[in-house]
Amino acid sequence: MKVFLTGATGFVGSYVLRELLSAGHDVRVLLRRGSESKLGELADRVEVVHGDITQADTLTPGLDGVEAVVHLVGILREVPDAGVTFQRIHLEGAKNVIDAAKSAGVKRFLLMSANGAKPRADASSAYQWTKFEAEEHLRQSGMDYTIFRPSVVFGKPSKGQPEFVSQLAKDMFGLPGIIPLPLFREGLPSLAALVKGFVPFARRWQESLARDGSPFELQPVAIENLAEGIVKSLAVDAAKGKTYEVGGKARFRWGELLDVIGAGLGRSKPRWKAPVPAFLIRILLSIRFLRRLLPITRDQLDMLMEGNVCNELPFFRDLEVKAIPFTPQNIAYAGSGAYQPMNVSAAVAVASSSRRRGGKWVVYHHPIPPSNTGVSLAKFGMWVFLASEVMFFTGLIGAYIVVRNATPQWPRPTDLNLGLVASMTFILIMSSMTLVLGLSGVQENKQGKFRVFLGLTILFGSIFVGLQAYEWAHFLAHHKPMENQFWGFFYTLTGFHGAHVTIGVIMLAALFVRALRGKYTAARHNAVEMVGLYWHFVDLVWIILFTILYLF
Amino acid sequence: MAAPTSAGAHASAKHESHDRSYWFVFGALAVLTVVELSIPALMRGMGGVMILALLVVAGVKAILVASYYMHVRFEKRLVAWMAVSPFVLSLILVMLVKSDIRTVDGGGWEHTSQAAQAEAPSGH
Repeated sequence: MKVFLTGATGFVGSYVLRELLSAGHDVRVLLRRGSESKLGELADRVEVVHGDITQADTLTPGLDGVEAVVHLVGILREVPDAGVTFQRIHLEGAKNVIDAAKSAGVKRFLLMSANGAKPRADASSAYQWTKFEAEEHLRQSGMDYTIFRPSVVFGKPSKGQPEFVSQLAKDMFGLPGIIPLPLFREGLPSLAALVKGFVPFARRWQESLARDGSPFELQPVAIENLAEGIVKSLAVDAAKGKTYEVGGKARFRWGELLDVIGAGLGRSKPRWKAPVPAFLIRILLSIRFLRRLLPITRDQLDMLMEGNVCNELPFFRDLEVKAIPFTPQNIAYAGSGAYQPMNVSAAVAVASSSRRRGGKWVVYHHPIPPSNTGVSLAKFGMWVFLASEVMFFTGLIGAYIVVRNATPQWPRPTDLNLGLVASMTFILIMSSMTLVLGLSGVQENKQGKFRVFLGLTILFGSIFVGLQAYEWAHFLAHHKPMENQFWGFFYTLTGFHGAHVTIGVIMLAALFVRALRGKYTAARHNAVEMVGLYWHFVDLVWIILFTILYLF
Repeated sequence: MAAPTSAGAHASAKHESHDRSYWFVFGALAVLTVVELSIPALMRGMGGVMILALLVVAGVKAILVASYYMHVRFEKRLVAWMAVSPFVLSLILVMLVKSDIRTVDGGGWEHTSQAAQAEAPSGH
C-alpha cells in the first residue's frame, strides 16, 4: 500500500516508519526542508517530499497516488513566540492534511490524537481540545478513518526525541537524593501523608505513600505496541471508523510509576517521596522566569493531575497486538545516559525557521563533550576555581606583605600561643593525609578504608575549626581587630581561612553521608576527588599563613 | 585505628597505590613543621636570613602538599601550569604594589604605625 506519513522524524513516527517498511508498505514521508538527516539509515528506503503541514499548498503534490495517510505530527509544548501553538499544529495542520488528502482522493486516513482529547468546553488545556477538533474534522471528512488516542508512550527514543520515561528519569531522578520526589495532589495533603512524606527511612510508610500520595493514574504503553497497532490497522476492516484508546495493560499510580522508573535506572531502593500540593507548583509556574526553568508546563501538570487511563482492550483485541508490559527491564534504556531529553527544542523542530527568529528562548541540550585537554572537565573546572582561590588568598597575603614592609616597627604581639598553633597545623596536615588515604580507599573500592579515613578527616577538620574558635575567643577578649595592623590582618587572614575550612568540613560531611549510602565506587568518585583538591588547597594555605603570621 | 592502618599497608603493596608516599609526605610535613617552629629560636636576630629560611621551608611543604596530596605530580603538565600561574601573577602584583609603597616616602604608614605603637606598646 502506498502510504503518506507525516511526523516521520518524531519519536512515534520513527517507530511507525520502521514498522510500515517491515510490513512491506511503500512509504512517502513529508519532511520539512533540512530534516532529511533525521531519517538516518531509513532515508534510502523511503520517498521524500518536502512540505509543511501549516502551509496547505505544499501538501497537494505529495499526495498524488497515495492510498492511505498516517498523520502523526504533534507537539508537547507550545512556543508561542515562534508561532508554534497547539492550535496551529494540532488543529490547523491536521485540517490542512485531512483536506488535502480528501481532495487528492485518499481513501484511508489514520490520525494520531491523544488520550484525554475532549471538546473545548471540558478541556483543561488547548492540547486536549485541539486534538479533539482535529478528530471531529476527520470524522466528518468522509474518509475511512482510524483515530489513535495513546496514553503516555514509553520506548527507547533517538537523540532529541521527547519520551516521558527518559524525561522523568532526568527531571525527577536527576535531582540530588536528598530532595524528595514530588507526589502531586490537589488540595492540602493530610497530616498523616505529610508525616509519612518527611520520614524517608520508614519504608512501609513510603510504600503506602507511593500508592496513595498522588491519586491519579497513568497507563503507559510501549511504543512498539502503538506502532504495530497503527500499521496493522491499515489492513483491518474492523478498525475503520474506530477511535482507539491506546494504553498499557496495567495502571500505575504516579508514585508507583516513579518507583518503576527508579528500578529501571538501577536503583536498588525506592527514592524518597513526599506529597506536594499541586497549587504550589501552579504558583511557581505563574512566575514567568521560573516557568522556563521548570521541566513541566501548566498544561502538562493539569493533564497529569487528571490522570491518563483508558480502555485499552479494543485496541489490543481488534489489531491483535501483544502487550509489552511497563517493567524496569523494559525501560532500562532511560538509564543509559546517552540520551538528553529536551522539551522546547522538540517543539522548535516543528517550525524550522523559528530557530533563527527567536533564538533567545531555544534550549538545546547537548551531551557533554569529552575533554580535549587530557584532564577531566570536572578537574579542569576545579583547578580554575582553585586558581581563583589562589588569587584571592595571595591578594590578602600580598596586602599583608606590602603593609608589613611599609611599617617600620611591626607590632608583633608577644602573646601568640605557638604550641596551640603548632598542634592546629599538625592536625590539618593529618587531615590531608587521612583524606588522601580515603580517596585511595575508594579508588581501590575498599569502602571500609574509605569511610574510616573520610570520617577521620571530618574529625580532624572539626577539631581544627574548634581550636581556631577557641583561639579567636581568647584573643578577641584582649585584642580588637582595629588595635593595630597585626590584629587587623590576623583576624582577616585566619577568618577567611577558617571559613574555608568550615565549608570544607560541611562538604566532607555531605560526602560522608553519601559514602555511608554506598554512592561512591572505584568507577565513580569524582566528588571525593574534587572536595579533596579543595581540602588540600585549604591545608596548603594554612601552611603559608602559619609561617608568615605566627613565625616571622 | 589498627584496621585502617593495616588496610592501607596492604593496599600500598598492591598495584599503583601511592599510600606509601602519602605517609612519607606526612612524615616530611611533620618534621618540617618542627623545623619551622625551631627556626625563630635558633636564628633569632638574623633577620632576613631567618625569614628566607622560613619561607623556603613553608614553600617546600606547600609543594609537597600540591605534588602528592593534590596529585599534581601524577597529572598532566597542564594542571601544574594552572596551579603555578596564579602564584606568578600575584607575585607580580605584590611586587609592583610593594615597590610603589616604598617609593612614596613610606606612604604614610610610618605615621599610623607609630600612633598604633603609642596606644598599644606590645611588640618589638
